[in-house]
Amino acid sequence: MKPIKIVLAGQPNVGKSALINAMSGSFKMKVGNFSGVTVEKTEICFEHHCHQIDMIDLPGTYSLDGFTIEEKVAKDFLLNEEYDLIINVIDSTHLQRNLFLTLQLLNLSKKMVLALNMADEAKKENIDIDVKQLEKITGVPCVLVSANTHDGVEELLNKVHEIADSEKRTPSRITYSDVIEEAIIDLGTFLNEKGFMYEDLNPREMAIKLIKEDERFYKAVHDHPISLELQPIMIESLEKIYTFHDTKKIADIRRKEHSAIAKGIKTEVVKDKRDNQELDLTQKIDKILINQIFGLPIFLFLMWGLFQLTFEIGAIPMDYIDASFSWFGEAVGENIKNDLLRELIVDGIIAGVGAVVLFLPNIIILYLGITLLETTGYMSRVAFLLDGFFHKFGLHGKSFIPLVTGFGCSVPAYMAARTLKSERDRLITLFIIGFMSCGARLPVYVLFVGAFFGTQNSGNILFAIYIFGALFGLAMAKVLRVLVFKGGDEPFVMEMPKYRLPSFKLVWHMVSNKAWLYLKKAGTFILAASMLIWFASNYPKDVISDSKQVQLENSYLGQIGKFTEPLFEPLGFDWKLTVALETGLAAKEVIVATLGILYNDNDEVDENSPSLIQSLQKNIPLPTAIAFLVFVILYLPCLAASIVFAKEAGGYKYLVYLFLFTTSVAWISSFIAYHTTSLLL
Amino acid sequence: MNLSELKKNDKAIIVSIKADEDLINRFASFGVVDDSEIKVIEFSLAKNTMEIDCEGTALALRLQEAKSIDVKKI
Repeated sequence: MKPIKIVLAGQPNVGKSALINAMSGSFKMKVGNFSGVTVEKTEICFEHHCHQIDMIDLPGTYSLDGFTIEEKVAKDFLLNEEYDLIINVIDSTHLQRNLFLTLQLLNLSKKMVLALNMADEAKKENIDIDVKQLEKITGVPCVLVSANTHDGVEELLNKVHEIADSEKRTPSRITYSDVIEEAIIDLGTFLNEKGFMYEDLNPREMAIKLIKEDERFYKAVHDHPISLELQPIMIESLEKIYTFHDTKKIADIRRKEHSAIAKGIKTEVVKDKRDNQELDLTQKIDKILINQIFGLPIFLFLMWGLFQLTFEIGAIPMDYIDASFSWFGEAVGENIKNDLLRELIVDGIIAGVGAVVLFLPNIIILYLGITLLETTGYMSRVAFLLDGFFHKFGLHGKSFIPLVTGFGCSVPAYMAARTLKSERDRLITLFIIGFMSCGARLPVYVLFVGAFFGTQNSGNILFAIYIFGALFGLAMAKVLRVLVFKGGDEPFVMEMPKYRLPSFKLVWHMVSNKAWLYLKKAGTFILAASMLIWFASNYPKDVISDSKQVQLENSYLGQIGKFTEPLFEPLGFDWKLTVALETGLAAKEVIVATLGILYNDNDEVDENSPSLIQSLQKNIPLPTAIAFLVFVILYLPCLAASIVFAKEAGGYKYLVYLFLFTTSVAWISSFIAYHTTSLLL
Repeated sequence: MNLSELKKNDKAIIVSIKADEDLINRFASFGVVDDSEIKVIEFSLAKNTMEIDCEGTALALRLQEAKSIDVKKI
């Protein structure tokens, strides 16, 4: 049987992705509570009652007039692609605003079902929706549904089947103002008498397409003999409409009509029993969180708390993980007779991968924080709080969303920048996302902070590192704005979604998904890189010397490091740190893996060979360590992120710019850091 | 008077919006159209940005944009 192809369309924050998850019973999609989570259309397939269902989740669009890139993605898909049915997802608690999009979708003349999502919330807020009446007015089946409680999901799926299987499409029954209705009747009657046909549209729908200046339909009419006779009727009708609305702009007229209809529908179908004087929970929370005076300090405190937790709680299981990897390494080592193989597995693979897995707890806590920020709706408030500040640096308040996402991983951050409409704002944001230290850089920080600043202040220093990166990014945004991307501002108008407590299941799925991806990366990419680095650090075998140190220096890795060492010598880096930075271009976790291999290969025959931290303390002076940290904070993101960057920015030439830009600022800042700290200490 | 001149907790009715097509469309899709009732919720510290409630939707906008919305206080 042919699969049913369904498109989900709706405004941002109406729970489209959550609804897909509820319908398909899976948790493959990312769900968030701020606009811009679904940046690309996502496709998902599943079976229901032996029907194959192919579902496409479009990015949230407030209207089809196209304001941002993602809105254009949605519009292009709806207009040009083949599909069986649209599910228009609506937030039941904001019916009027959501209907604005619904009215535009109805004009597409496709099969459609209205899914009134968040029915549970509406019920809680005493909002009553007369579904039968809504169906009567729109002519489209409506289902009350809640992605949260799964109420109505089955009914929605059944409705989808019924509509998709039915031969005929029920046309929209929206009634416009009298003057438009008159024109529709005049034009419709004429088209009907002439027997003009276009796709499966009825005369009324064709008349509406004429009035709203649908280009495609105009072409079809133009190529037909009736166009000659149609013209005078058309002109007469339009004249009447223009006089009535006092404007000749069809877009203006359409907007006015739609706004009026949406308002009318709301008055007719929604019984809002709320007490208007009483503040709802969101307003109460907002009284504190976006308070003029307390708002910003609260935000900074929350971020500070997150980094404290990342370090303090993250440190607890780290000892156990470390111990189990050493034990595992020894246990495996004892059972391998072949020297070479043992070295490869114990010193190469287990040491390299272990060094990365060690930081899993930190990563989990950081992602948990970011997930909560995304799903509760607080992210938009922060955009509000920071817009004035950001604006001074030539950024848009909305840039905050990709920038914060960048603390997790740069890849989704680059994609989230699509919510920005202006090309300039978007490019500036793309260029500075890398300065928001991603989760993969965290292991390097944790390692160095632990080694050189003790555990006493580690949370604070970690926070300072992130703040430094962020402020540096802002300063760079200003520089880019003044020197490269000159020009006007994009207006800042943004919805502040209701606060929502994400379900435990959702948070768990999102965080565990990320943790799993991190582990998977450790088990594949990092494993391969560890083997490669181990190989490069052990070959060619030097037969003359027994000393491991000499052996290492003459290895391939040593040769590369020595060759490029002069480039980094002014920063106080030796060849080992140089190589670590270079391998870090592939992925930041590899830096730790490389250091693990290079600094653990010790000459001492001591049984309790010192751990990586002690080895770093012994071999690296403090100014060098600080300069190294500064370099890691600022230089090019990993390979995967760089490729996404090039794609989002619009070409590989931008990647070359990014490489030159980040490398030079990293080098200069690192140079300054090294020499000032050398003088001070 | 325009929206940016209102004080915190003031309520008003939108009289007209004078801006470019893009911004007007944007406003309309949020329900910010002529005759809508709005309430000022909060200003940011530096008074660059304001939050308003428009028929149940909370919106943040810059005062610069708020200047393009003419309102009648109620």
